[in-house]
Amino acid sequence: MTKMQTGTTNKLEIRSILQENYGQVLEDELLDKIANVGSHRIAQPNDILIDMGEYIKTMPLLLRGAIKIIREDKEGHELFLYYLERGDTCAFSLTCCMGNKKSEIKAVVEEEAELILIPMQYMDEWIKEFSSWRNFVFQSYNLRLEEMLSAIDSIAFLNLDERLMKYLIDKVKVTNDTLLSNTHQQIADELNTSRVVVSRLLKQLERQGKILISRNKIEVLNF
Amino acid sequence: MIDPKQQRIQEILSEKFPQFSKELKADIAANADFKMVPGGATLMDIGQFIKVVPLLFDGKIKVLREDEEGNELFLYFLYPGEACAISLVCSGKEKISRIRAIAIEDSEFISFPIKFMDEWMLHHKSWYHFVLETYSYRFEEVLKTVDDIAFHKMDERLLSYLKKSKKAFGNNILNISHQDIACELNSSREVISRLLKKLEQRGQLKIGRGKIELIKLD
Repeated sequence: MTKMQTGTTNKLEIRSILQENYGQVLEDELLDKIANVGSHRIAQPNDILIDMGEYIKTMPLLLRGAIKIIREDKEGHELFLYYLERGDTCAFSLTCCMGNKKSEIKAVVEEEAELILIPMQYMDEWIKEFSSWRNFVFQSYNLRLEEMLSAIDSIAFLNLDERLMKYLIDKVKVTNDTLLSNTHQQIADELNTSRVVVSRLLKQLERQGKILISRNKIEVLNF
Repeated sequence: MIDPKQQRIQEILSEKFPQFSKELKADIAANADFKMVPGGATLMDIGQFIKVVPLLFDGKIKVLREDEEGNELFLYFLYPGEACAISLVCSGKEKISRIRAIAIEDSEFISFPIKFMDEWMLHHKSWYHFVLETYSYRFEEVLKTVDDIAFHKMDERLLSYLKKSKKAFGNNILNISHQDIACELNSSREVISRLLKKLEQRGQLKIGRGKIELIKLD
């Protein structure tokens, strides 16, 4: 992991942050254990938490912010898959750590993110010990599998203009801001298309009154 | 006296799911039934697999994604010794996902109620590993589909589809129409016919009436 700030090391403080975010889902005894072994981190927008081909050694619990999950092919073409938000964990970290495999995705911070990182060795142990942990882990798998299928839907079944609009709306939802500061090039990269095409489609969406384009900003009006 | 059905289940599990522990096999045998699905039938339509975990031990299943308008996209084949993670997802939430699973030949399952899925994870390490591996394997398959449709051109996708079908059908002759292939790759019949012609010119396959003979795909 790169460029990450160490957050608080106070176990009591971590315990109370966990209670606030995961108190509904995970039992007290488990939260105590997580507070004990987990480390607290703050990551800034555009930080790369994990890159393709790296080994994942910890499992992240997201407390705040948003993380973008991106697939990359050998030639460096990118494709946006989905966002992780508060209360989520990354199913890829689960499969990778289990099999001690390299990461198949890239995780980039979208909104300043607060995380608890749990060393992988506890995964197995807790699955046997805590039914809430088991539910949480398999629920995460289910959710992510659904997200992947819906990513497939949008590439296979939607036209590029529909995908672009969906991409913008997803981003508005995750950032809680209708004003987006993506460049056209960045959007093109994540949708695996060209800047020229994206600019043309954005123009078209503007004419339809769905968005407003200004210098380095896109305002989403209709979502 | 040992129940003959239970004994049969144990024998099948030993052969097709050798990674299961003795205790797990006994637990499954005591709670499972046999299910048969005829070739060509749709599993989800039959509705048998919403509240049970299906372990495939004979036959092959093709899994497709479907959208609201009925467009479809081939995802992967299931082989004996596997369970479908997407069926686990559906079972878990007791909902029907927009997934279509078709038996491409007569297929047989050992199935047991979904409530054991969680219970056995506590008691049987080999069950817990099987479920995790199933998820992680399907995850990779779905990711490969993402790569296929996002990064690969239609000729590469067609070639990979033909290779997978050859393996699943265990035959060099595929009885499949250009229209069917077009549907499953979410393309048009014209495009698929043109690409198949190109592969024929290169001597990689031979196009016949309602069938394709695969000669050399690599």
